[in-house]
Amino acid sequence: MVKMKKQHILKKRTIVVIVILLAAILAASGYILYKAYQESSSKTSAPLTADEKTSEILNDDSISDKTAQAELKKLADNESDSSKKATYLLGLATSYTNSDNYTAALDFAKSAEVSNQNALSAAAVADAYAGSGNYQEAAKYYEQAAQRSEKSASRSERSPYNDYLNLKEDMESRIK
Amino acid sequence: MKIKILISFFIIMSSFLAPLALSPKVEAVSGDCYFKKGDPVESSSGCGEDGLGDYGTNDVLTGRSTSGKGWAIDPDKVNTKAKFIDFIIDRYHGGDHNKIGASYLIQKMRGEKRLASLPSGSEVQDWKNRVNASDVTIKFYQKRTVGATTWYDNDKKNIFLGAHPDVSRRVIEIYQRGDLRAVIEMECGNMTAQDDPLSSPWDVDPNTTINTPTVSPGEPVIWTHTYTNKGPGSMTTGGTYKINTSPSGTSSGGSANYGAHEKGWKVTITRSYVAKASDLGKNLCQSITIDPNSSTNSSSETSAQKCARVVGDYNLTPGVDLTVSGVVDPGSLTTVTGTVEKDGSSNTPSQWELSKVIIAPGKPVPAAGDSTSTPQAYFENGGNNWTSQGVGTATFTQQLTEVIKLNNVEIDELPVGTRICWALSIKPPNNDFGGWRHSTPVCVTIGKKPKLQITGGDARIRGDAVTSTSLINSGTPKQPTLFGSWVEFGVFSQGKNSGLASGAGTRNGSIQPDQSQWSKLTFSNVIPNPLEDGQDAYKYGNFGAGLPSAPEISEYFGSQGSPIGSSINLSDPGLAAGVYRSTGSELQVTGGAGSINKTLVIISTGTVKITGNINYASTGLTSINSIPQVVIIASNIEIDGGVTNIDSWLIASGSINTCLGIPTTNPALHSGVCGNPLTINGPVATNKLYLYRTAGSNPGGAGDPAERFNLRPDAYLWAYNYGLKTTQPITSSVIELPPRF
Repeated sequence: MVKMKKQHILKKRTIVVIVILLAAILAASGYILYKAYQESSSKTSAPLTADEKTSEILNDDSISDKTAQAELKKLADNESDSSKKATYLLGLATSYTNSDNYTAALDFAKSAEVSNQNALSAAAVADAYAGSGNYQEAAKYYEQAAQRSEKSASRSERSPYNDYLNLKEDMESRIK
Repeated sequence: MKIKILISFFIIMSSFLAPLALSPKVEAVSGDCYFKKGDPVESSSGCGEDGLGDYGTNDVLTGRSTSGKGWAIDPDKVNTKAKFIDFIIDRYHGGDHNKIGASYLIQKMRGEKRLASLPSGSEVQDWKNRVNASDVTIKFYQKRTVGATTWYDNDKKNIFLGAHPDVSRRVIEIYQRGDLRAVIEMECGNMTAQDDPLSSPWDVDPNTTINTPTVSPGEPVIWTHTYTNKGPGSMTTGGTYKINTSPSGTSSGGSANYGAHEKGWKVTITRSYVAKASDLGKNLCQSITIDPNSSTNSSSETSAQKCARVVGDYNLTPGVDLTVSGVVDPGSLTTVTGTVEKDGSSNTPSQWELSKVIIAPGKPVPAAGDSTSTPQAYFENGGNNWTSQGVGTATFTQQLTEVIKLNNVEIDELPVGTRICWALSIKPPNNDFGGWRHSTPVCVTIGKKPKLQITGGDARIRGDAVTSTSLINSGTPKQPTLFGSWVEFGVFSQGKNSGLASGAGTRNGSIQPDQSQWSKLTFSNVIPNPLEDGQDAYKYGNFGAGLPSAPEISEYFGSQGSPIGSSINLSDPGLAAGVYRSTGSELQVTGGAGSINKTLVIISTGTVKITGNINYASTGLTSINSIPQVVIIASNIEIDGGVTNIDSWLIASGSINTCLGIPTTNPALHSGVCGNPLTINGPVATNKLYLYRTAGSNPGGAGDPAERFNLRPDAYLWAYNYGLKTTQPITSSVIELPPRF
């Protein structure tokens, strides 16, 4: 009889412990969920980068090229940061190149070159020249793009360096 | 026990929280391979490359040289959606490298996550459907800065996605509804980190059903319209439905917008309309149009229109009338009239067709009936000859409608016994049966109407004078001509006269249908009664007193005469001129075909049967005394069918039958018996005359008689001379004296 009573008390204590543990875990889970929610909220509400804005505009085929170009132009004009401005200008150059308007593409690519010289800006200038048939200038700027890229140890490596050199050689082959 | 519970709880909690952990957008360069392990994929983990990989070797699709020259996707060859699909399919069927590369592009565009399998045939088709969707557009040879991209790991025979320095590339951009979904580098076939899947195609199917194909005024028509997303994908856009009604205003339509929904989404719209009397004859129709139709077709789609015809509750009965009936002569004319009798109200047009059916002798006439068989199939059954006499369509608004009338239809020259029938068929006859209703065929039977001719005297008839006539298309040019029996002089009848011409009125046929035109010497002794069957029969007299009975010629001979047995041979040389008497029940007269040159008076109390011709001598006559004459007086006289000429008086107190052996009740006479014409030269007097010969009335000889009764002058001369020889007192003159008291 005494043994049975002891067992009963032990059972009761076990249940209490489990309940307390469950409550604690639920509280901890709620906190984690709350933080995760806060984190995701703060992430979604964060302002877009220049790259993201450019992509968003260029990736929306439902708006016309002219509208996209106007938006990018507005962003570029209103941007004081040269790096960000260069991103918008590169987006403009890409858009005009894809619209076969190589004159405008060249203007914006060169502006990007002025704002922030890098491999992509040089490649954009080269693309515009190539599109307009000025292979000599195109070759020159692809060469610049290659030089601004990390040099590859192997010529067969799928690197931007090798890519631009290949494009340069392609342009040169067209000159001949 | 406690530990077990806690472990279980943490497992549950960790699996619950796992999805909340922020997963990277792309796999790391050294991350797991995309495809599951399996032929031709050799590994599913540990994909990676040192550096940036090599041209060609690590491109997702082959085609670029190891020096980086050329294209995996040639912009000159792959520049349309169709060519892009064909290109990828071609690579999918290529070697391991291209198969795995193309499979990656396919599965990624289908939204398959890592550890996907190489696509099955149906999955490739699904990919094609997705790319072919009308809201998917592809731009080729676009300039784009790309970074993270895919590699082909030729050791693992697998694909992985990894980081890459930004570089300007020519790419294929795949958009769906304006959003960029995937970018594939044309130089290498690599898909960049821009690899969102294309939506699965969907198809919204509009459908309309109706509760009834026909409806009567006051009854409802119920249309059930549905539109269903049959998938296999969820709709990527909403649309608009519109219910179309026809005729406008006869039922309510409507339209509304709807949103995008998953596969299986179904909307049901019900419309009802109670037909009005003013809708009779109309087709009440509805359909539903949904717009857009599917992910691959941006245009609208309309369900099959479903209609209910508003019809009255009616029943049509076709019928045919002929102006002749029974047995008719070939060449006879008739008018065929097709009529439709209607019960109820109807505005439903029905087809009709008049059939002519020729039925061989002995074959049955088809019965009337409702059938799905056409008139031709129905009446040709049994080998009958069928021809259409007219077809048409009519809406029967009258209680009785004459749909066709054919005048002067000539009865064909067909074997005797053939039946020519006409029947009218109609479709539909009512709302409940859509097939044909065939009327009872109305028939005539090809046969003969034998004629009688009486020349040299009158016909005096103490009953009715009723003979048949035939209206035949005859003469040159052909015209309806009436042929019938006729008497050269007068026709006197105690009763009515119908069809028996006087004054030889129909000797060559008459184009006048009115009997009065060919009955100028007809006298009938009846009171006109317009309620009887026609007035023609009654308008020739009413002379009051009845006709006297024929004189009792046998009394003239008193009791004189030599007795004879049951036969007499007229050619017996021992047979002297004189009077012969038979008291038996039957007396057979034979042997008269030779030339009879004497006077023979044969008196019988029974039946005289004439089995051969009786001919007078036509030569050797030197005076009135030498005129031969045969007088046959009997109760009844029957003439064998083979007899064609009888030069004799025929006096019967009972009857004369011109076809021996044919009973006078139910004679069952047909064209196969007694077909020889019979001429009787001499006075004829009888109580009843059975004219059973079937000769004549043939095509080309419609007026030829079967029997001809000819009263020649030799009978008068003989009678006069015979009277002079008698010793009996005769009245030579009558003088009326004043009475004396």
